[in-house]
Amino acid sequence: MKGKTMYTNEVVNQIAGHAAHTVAGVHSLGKANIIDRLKGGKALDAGMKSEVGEQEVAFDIDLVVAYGHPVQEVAQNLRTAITNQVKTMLARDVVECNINVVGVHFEAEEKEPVPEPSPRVK
Amino acid sequence: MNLITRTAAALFGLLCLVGALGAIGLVTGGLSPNRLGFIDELQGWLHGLPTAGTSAVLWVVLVAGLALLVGLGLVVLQFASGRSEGPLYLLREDARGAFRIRKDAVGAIAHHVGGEISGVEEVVCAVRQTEAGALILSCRVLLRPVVDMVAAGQRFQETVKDAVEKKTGLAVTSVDLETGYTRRRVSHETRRIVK
Repeated sequence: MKGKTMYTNEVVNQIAGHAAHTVAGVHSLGKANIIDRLKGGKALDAGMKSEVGEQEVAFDIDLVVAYGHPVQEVAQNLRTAITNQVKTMLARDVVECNINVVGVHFEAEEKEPVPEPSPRVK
Repeated sequence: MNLITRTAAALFGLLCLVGALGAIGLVTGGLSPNRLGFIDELQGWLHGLPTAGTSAVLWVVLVAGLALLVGLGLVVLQFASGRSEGPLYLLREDARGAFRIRKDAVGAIAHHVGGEISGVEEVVCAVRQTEAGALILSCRVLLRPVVDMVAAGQRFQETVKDAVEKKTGLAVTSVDLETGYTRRRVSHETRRIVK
C-alpha cells in the first residue's frame, strides 16, 4: 500500500525538546517570557524551530546552558542527542542544527547550614 | 532589555491603551465625563469633548487610535517575547550547522565569575568582539576597602579571562578594568577601652 507519513513541526519539536532535556548542561530551551512564568513553566518545544521534510529535518534552537558546563561541548552533545532521537523515532536525518546559546543559568547558591557547636560538657 | 526597562515599557503601553480607549469612549459617548470626576483639572475639557465638532472628534479618534496601536504593540512585545538582546558571537560552524552565543550570556559568565572573587563587591562587564573574533571585556569593579587593588585587579583579569575562554571557547584578548573601592560602610567592631 502506498502512502506517506508526515510529521507536524510540533511533534518534531517535542521529540527534539525531550531529547534535549536529557543532555547534561542543558538548563532549558528558549528564554522564559512573563507568560511562561505565570503558567509555571515552558512547553517542551519552547525555543525550538524546525523545518520538516520527507526525509530530512533542520533545527534552529535557542539554548540556556547550566553554568559550569563548557558551552560548545553542551551544544555538540545536544546536536548529537537530537540527531539520534529524530533518526530513531522518525527515520529522518537531521541535516542542519543551529544552536544559539541565549543565556546561562546560575544555580542559586545554597548556604550550608552552620552546625551548632556541641557543648563542651555533658 | 532588563526587567525594569521591560516593565516600564509594558506600563507605558498599558497607559497608552487606557488613555486611548478612554478618549475614544468619551468622544463616541460610550464613557461619561462624570465617571472621571476625580480628575478635576480635566473636567472642563472632558465635558467639552462629546459636544466637540466633527473634525475635532475625528482628530481625537485618529490620535487615540494611533496611541492604541502603539500601546498594544508595546504590551504584546513585552509580554509575549522571551527574547534577549544583543548580537550573537559565532563559536563554531561546520556543514551541520553553527553554534553561537549571545553577547549577554558571555557578559553573564564574566559577571558571575568576577563577583565570586574574594574582595570583589560589585561587577559590571561589557563585552565586545574584535574583527578577528576575539573578545574584549571592559569591567567596572568595586572592591572592599581593605583589599589590595593591584593584586585583586590582576586576579580578576586572570580569573575572568580563564573562565570565559574555558566556558565559551572564544579567545579573550584583554580584560580592561576600572576599579574602585565600594562606598558601602564597613562594619567595625568597636571596643570601648576602660582605663
